Amino acid sequence: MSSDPTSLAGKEFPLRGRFATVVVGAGEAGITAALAAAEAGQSVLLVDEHPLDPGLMGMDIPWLFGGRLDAAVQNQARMEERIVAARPGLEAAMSAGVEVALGTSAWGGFLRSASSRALAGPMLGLADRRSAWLVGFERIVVATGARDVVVPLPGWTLPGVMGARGFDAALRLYGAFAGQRIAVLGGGVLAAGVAAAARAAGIGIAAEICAAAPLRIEGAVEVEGIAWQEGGAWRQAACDTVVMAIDTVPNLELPDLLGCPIRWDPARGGFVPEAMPGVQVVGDAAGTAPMARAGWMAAALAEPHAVVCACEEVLAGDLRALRPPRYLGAEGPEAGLAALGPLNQDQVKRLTRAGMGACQGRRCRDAVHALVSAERVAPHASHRAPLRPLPLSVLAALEEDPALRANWTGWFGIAAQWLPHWEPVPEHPEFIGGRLTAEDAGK
Amino acid sequence: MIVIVGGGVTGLSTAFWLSRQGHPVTVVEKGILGWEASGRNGGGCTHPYSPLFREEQRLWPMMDEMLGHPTEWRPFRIKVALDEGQLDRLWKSTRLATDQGFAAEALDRAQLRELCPWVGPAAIGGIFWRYGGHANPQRTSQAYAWAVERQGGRILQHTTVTGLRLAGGRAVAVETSAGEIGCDAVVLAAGPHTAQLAERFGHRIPVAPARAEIMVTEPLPLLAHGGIDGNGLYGRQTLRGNLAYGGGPHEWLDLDGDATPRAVNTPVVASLARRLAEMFPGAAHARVIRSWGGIIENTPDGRPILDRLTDPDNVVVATMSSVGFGLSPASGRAIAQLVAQGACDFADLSQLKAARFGNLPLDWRARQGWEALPL
Ligand SMILES: Cc1cc2nc3c(=O)[nH]c(=O)nc-3n(C[C@H](O)[C@H](O)[C@H](O)COP(=O)(O)OP(=O)(O)OC[C@H]3O[C@@H](n4cnc5c(N)ncnc54)[C@H](O)[C@@H]3O)c2cc1C
Repeated sequence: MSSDPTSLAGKEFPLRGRFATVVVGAGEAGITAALAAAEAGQSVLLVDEHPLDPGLMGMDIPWLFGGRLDAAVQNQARMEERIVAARPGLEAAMSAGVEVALGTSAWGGFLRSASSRALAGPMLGLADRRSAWLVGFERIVVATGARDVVVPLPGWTLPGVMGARGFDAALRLYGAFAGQRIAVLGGGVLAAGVAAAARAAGIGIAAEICAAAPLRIEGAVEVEGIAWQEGGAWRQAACDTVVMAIDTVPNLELPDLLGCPIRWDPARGGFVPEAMPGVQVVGDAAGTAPMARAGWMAAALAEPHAVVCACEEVLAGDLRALRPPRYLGAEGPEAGLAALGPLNQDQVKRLTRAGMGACQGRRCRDAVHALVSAERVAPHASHRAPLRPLPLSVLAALEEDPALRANWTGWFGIAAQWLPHWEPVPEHPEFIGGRLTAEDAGK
Repeated sequence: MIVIVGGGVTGLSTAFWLSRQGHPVTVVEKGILGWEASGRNGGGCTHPYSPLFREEQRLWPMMDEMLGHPTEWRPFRIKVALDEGQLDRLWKSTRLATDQGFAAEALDRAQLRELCPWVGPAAIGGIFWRYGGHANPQRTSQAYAWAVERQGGRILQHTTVTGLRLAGGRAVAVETSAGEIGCDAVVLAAGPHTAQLAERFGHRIPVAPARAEIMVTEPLPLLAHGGIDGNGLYGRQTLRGNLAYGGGPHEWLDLDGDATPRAVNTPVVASLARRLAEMFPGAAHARVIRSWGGIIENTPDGRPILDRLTDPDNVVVATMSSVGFGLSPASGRAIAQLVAQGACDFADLSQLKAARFGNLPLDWRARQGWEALPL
């Protein structure tokens, strides 16, 4: 019997190339993996989203940039040159035959699975600033590195607050850091690295705050200084930038989307992905340094007014009260979060909107997780395609199978569903409910 | 004790209406409330082909107050047509409602653009439905649940129903992963799992699972009426301003025992974006920030099965066949009546009995082309 024409069965997804190996992320780990695969005679595609669309930098994607990048980032060609200069391994990879695509983000990974049987094979969704496309692959190496952790300290949403990864990228990858005097938060190697890089670049260091303490980032419209408690007294320092170098976490968006098991492993940063047949995770994406944020998070989240989710304006107190978003003007259940039973971050997201905003939850994901894990470690919140916020017009440019368009239907295409259900289903010789004609299917 | 199997909107609404009348209820959900189709759908509340339509329309405006928590329900739908064919089909389905006394108005392009500035020159016109509406699925599911608890009902999450214990032509207990629960009546509202649960006590309730996808953009300025769709898409602007739209190809699946299949996304999300950009060229710059999938329950004719069985005679089977969110205030009330008084007094459910599938061939899914592809 022929398959349901309005289903995904038999539809194709046109590919712009197939590769034995695709590597996502052209940092050290990614370049090494790409070179090794090319030297083994494989066809290799190496993609990296940098240089980013400045619009995405403004949304703190993928790192917390905090608006401290200068106008140079507007010039894509110049940024590409800087990236090639900052990562000399790229030239070697190209000469070894690796196809390198810069300014190209991986927004989706699609595998054939029990839930996606109609897919012919593994596909990666890619996009630049103009359009989206798909490539096929046999093996994928995820080398997407680490992501900045935001601790929702008072004032963190001010322009001028950035993460360690964001700072490093602004300074060394883009050469476009716009600050002059920084305060560094964090007591580990991450913070030490930020301070050293700043010194080497001749950037002033106003303060280094190593341990969680009562603290305030100050400024009217952007960072002007920082105030913190030390030995019972408040101290203050003027600065234009605060670098949160407290912690990073593995950037496991793509492994999660591909269906890799995700495990809680604080010794490697928090949630870490496991490999799967055909999916390898290397470098920081597979695990970072031991988790160092717990004390900072606990202190920040104890403050009910802490802005946890900036996109959707959800405060720590709103989360604990499970308060619906402000536009509804309603209270949460009396029991607050306890009204839900065992907590799940995705469920809390749908009810409070924390993590539902335009930054795709990158800035609040770890803080929300800490808050809902007060009693037991909550499961990992899911990642969904597109992994980068892509304009409708960019996604719309993906090449589409004409058969998919010809058989498009709003909902299942069963004729009897759209006729009065208080009347018997009309007899249909072939299919019980009858099929809408292609002409009628558009409903 | 009335035990309700499944904590989706169908089961939760049933529990809401039963507990409201003082009946003791326990809802048993294998995972999280509203976690499956009930919390992942398009939020549409406009089903003129259902005998429950009138009740759906009557109840939604009262639900926030009755439930005590906001559902984000808003009235009306606006339909956009990009060609004569689309407009024609829209009028066909409009007549289903206007024949029942509901009002609708034709919109020309200028009127459409006044209601929605993103509509482009490709739109030839539209229809304003002065009926129907839309609500927030997860918030609604949760609101039912909290109302049930407030009314004295009990809700068990992370508890799987494995079967029924029958004696003397009745269900006397519901068997779960956490032990037996004695019962006077049972409602089977387990969505796509309804079929395999019914099979365990010898009943054939044909339901096939399918996966469908939705995508959502960042928030845009609020329209006066967010329930606007067309061009082969269903969906809405949320009260926060996001554009959330679904449609297009679904995929037939198999269940994984008691587990619900992973509701993954595919590159179909790009096709959704394409159709949304065609319908709203003025919003083509809006960034898509997320997508999701859901697993849908489907009967062979695309219509619900709402039926009180005769043997065992204290079991009601309730599956909505892919249009169960919007109808849930009404379906729950109808199911509660089937449980408490054996019949529904406000709608004609005579065509929604399981017996209509009495002669269904065993290989019906294959015949319909609804089988899951081999893995
Ligand atoms: C993408 C999408 C868009 C949709 N759009 C719309 C729309 O716009 N308007 C509309 O009206 N409808 C829409 N629908 C359909 C609608 O969501 C469903 O018809 C409705 O949610 C069905 O509700 P339910 O409670 O019957 O089933 P479900 O929501 O599937 O709930 C059944 C519950 O039973 C539980 N369960 C299963 N087996 C067991 C067991 N053994 N023990 C305990 N618990 C069990 C499941 O975990 C599940 O939570 C859409 C669906 C999807 C997926």
